[in-house]
Amino acid sequence: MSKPVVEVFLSYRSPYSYLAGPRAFALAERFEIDLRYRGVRPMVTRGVPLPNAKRLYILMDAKREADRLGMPFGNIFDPLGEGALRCLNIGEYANTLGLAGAFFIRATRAIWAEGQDVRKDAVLAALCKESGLSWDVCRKAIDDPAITDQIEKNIAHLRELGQWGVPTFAFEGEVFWGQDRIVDLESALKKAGLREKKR
Amino acid sequence: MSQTGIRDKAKRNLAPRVLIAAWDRKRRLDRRQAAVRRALGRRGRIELYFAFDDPYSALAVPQVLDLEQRYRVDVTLYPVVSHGISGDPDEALRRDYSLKDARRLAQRLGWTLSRNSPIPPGQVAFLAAWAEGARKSNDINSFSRKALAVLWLSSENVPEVPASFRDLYREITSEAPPASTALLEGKVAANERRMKRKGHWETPAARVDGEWFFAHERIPQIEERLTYLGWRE
Repeated sequence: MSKPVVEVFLSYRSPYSYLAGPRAFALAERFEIDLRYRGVRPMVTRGVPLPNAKRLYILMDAKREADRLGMPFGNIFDPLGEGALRCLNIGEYANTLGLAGAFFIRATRAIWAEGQDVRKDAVLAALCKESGLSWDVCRKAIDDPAITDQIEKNIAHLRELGQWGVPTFAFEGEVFWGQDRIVDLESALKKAGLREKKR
Repeated sequence: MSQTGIRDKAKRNLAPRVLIAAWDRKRRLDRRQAAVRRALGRRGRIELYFAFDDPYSALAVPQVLDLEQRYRVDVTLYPVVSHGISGDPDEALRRDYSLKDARRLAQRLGWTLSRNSPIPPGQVAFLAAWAEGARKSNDINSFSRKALAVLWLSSENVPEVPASFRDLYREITSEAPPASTALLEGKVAANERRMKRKGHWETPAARVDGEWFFAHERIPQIEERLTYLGWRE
């Protein structure tokens, strides 16, 4: 019998996606679900306005939430543009190997807590290696138009679900937006009869 | 590194780091200032900007007002009508989603969000003016809390407007609702300008001794800040 599907939409440029990453990918270890990673481009490249007041609030709120979660945060290198797009393509390739979580968690920590410039080959090569990925293949994935197409399909799918932001989770037609809504997703999983795996 | 490269690094790396470091310093300063205010017998301050068409406000207003029972703080409510990002292409999606999300947040509190459809802002704009009208008799908090509960927590349809709210206003303030709202609408517009000037764009926004929180989803964090600043009773 196939496992229930949970889709998770994430962006490398979203601090809340970074905060959600470890808990999002841990869901597949905790519950008998088929967790499907869907990488999307940053909101500002999708026509969603981001005024300065909102930008500032997100930064401060993400710092507060990171402190609460015990995650490092603050030595940021904004990947908007090429950096975010390169990570997205690698993430999509990593997904085919079951390594989307490993790469997403590692790369977003580099972006949001280690001040690493993910536009650079040397930086990405090291992150790929640490995530169990071959840089040579990842380098090709960056320029693969089929992978870029898949990312656009992910964005279109997010819109079909009536959503615009990340991190977003979708389970049986219900949508949960926000790193602080994982708890509601967990409630929905349990309500659907899914029990937590014994560890 | 070229000049462009320096500018790029400043924007992508140095600016956010400086902002976060400055914020950390400001928090420590806020704590010292709160201690001084406390020594002078003063209380902490929470400004809460909210809207009657916003389901999240129905969850935030009672929870923030209740903080006055547990902390040495004064909560000031600022009703607004216009909120959100002007020209937001996803406004309709946000409106629909906020209803579903607010329902789940209400469940966490053991409450029930009864409404299944959004309320057009224009339909309840008069309530913001009336709430401002109730400020002079110190009844803005009671009126806002109860009107939000009527709208979101106890009925699917907006009660006959404004007839049933007239009774509510009378019951709380012992006065008739304002006959003319022009002056009060000006005060609501001033609240909207105040929220923007101080650095927020959406409701329910709580400014807790100078720091912003989305009040419907950050009550524990607000309590942590109040405790950090030493306002716990």
